[in-house]
Formats: sequence, structure tokens, C-alpha cells
Amino acid sequence: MTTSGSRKEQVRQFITEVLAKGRGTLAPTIADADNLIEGGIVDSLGITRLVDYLERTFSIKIPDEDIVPENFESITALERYLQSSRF
Amino acid sequence: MNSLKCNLKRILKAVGVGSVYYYFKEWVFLKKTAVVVQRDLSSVSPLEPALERAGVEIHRISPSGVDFQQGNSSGRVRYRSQERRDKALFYLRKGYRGVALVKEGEIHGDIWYWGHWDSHAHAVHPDLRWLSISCGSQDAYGFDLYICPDNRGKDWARLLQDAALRQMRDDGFRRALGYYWLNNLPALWVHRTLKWSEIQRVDLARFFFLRRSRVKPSSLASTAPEREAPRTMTG
Repeated sequence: MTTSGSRKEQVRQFITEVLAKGRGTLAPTIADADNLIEGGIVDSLGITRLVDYLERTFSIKIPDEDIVPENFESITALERYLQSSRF
Repeated sequence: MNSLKCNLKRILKAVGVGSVYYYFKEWVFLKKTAVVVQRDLSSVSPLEPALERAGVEIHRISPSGVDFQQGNSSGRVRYRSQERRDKALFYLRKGYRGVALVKEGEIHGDIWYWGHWDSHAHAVHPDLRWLSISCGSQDAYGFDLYICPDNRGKDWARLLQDAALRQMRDDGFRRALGYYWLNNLPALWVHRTLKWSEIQRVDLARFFFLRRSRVKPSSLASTAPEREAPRTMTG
């Protein structure tokens, strides 16, 4: 069972070490409220890697209608989405 | 005939690099779902800061602005990809308009659109028929966004599409129409982050030039803004 706190840190680690690596658009540590879309972290390729990572890591299936900026714009938004009763 | 030549070139190229399978997947399939979308052009965002950050420029594609002969004409930009250059020539002959993303004098990506800028001279874009949509006089249909493979992952697709929306607005259009394949997650993301809204979905079966499509109501269609009654077009 993954707790909310550890899940959030797992997601943060993936975003920092895989998606944000080498972009230099945000600070090395990504804060909960940092805008990942405006920062260029979750772009068209970033969303593909992020969805793939979330589905594999947390054994979930993210439907296409959920892939909207409101759910992926920050770590806070992602955590809120993952906490939703959908899964 | 030009379309046939363009496709023949692609086939020969595919044979040459051993990617026939990928080419035919594009032309022969039982079911793919296209998501038809629209965007109100009254609210496009300023682009200059993003262009500056990316170190790129946006150019309108025209026969005089692009060096199609690959010569050394000063002041003109040139295509990096010969295939895209051929396609651009084909599109320009059809009367379509294009926007290019340029870095250091080279075109790294482009996108095209069609509209009623000259109501009697240009045929309706063929996609509109199988997508079951009609364009009014204030609508532009955007299609075929391309970014060179070595520049993907830099958020340039979003930048280019945003630039095209501004160009359409500057041309006097009030609404953009387009589509993406449902299984193309990067395209889905670009459209949703740029606030396109869904109109309908179309299931398509294709065997080369034969297409059979079926329109499905969209679960997200209720979020679409009000649209003016479109003018019915004939092809």
C-alpha cells in the first residue's frame, strides 16, 4: 500500500530526475505548486512518459478524458488526481 | 497527380529505409478514432516570450519566403527535410497557408491550414468530408503539424500550433477546427493545453484511398463553446 506522502515523493523524484533533467527551467527541487506545463517539464513528450510511469508504478489505467492540464499542471494537482476515488 | 507523386516518393523512401510496415499502418487500418476539435480565436495568448525562450522565430510560408531550390538566396529560409519541402510545395499549389518554426535560417517544423480566403479558387480540404465537419466563412481548418525528429521534446509543437492560431486570427478567422488521433497522446496534450475543445469523435477504417467513417457523439462535447451555424460546403 503506497501512502499519499510517499507516492507524492515518488512522483516528484520521477519528474525531477527524468522529466526535468537538463531543462534548467525550474529549480533543481520542484515544489508542490510549481507549474510543470509553463515550466516546459510536462510537454507533449513529457506527458507520454509521465502517464506511462504513473500507470506502471501505481497499477492504474488513466483514461484519455482525465489527461487534462488541471490534473497534471503541478505535483499538488497530480496528487489530488491520484487521490480521487477513480482508482 | 501531385498527391500521387508525393505518396509515391514516400513509399520509395519507406522501402529504402525498411519502414514499409509503419507506412502501411498509416494507410491500412480497421479502426482509428479521430477527435475533432475547435478553438475560439478571440483568446490566443501572446507568443513572443515563449519564442524568445526557445530561441526560434515564426515565419509565414510563402513561395518567395522559402528557398525551395536549396540555393543560397540570402534572407530566405530553407527546409531541413526534403520530404517536408516537397510537401510544402504541394500544399502551396493547393492554396493552403503554412506557418514555419525557424531556427538559424532553417525550418525545423511547420503546420498548415485551409480556409475561405478565396472562396472560388480553392477546393475544400478533403479531410472535412470524412471528419463530417463543415467550415463557415470565419473558420480555418488546421492540419499536418510536423516537428523534425531531433527537435521533439522541446515543447515546439505547442509553440508552432499556438503561432498558427495567431496567424489564423490575423487572417480574419474567428474559429479554428482540427483533429488528432485519440491514440496520439502528444497531440492530445498539445490540443488540450492550448484550450481546444472537443466537438465529436470519428471512427475511421481505411484501405489506401478508401475510407469509411462513423461519427460518434463525444463525451466531452458538452464543454465546447457555442459555434455559429456553419455554411454547408460542397466539394
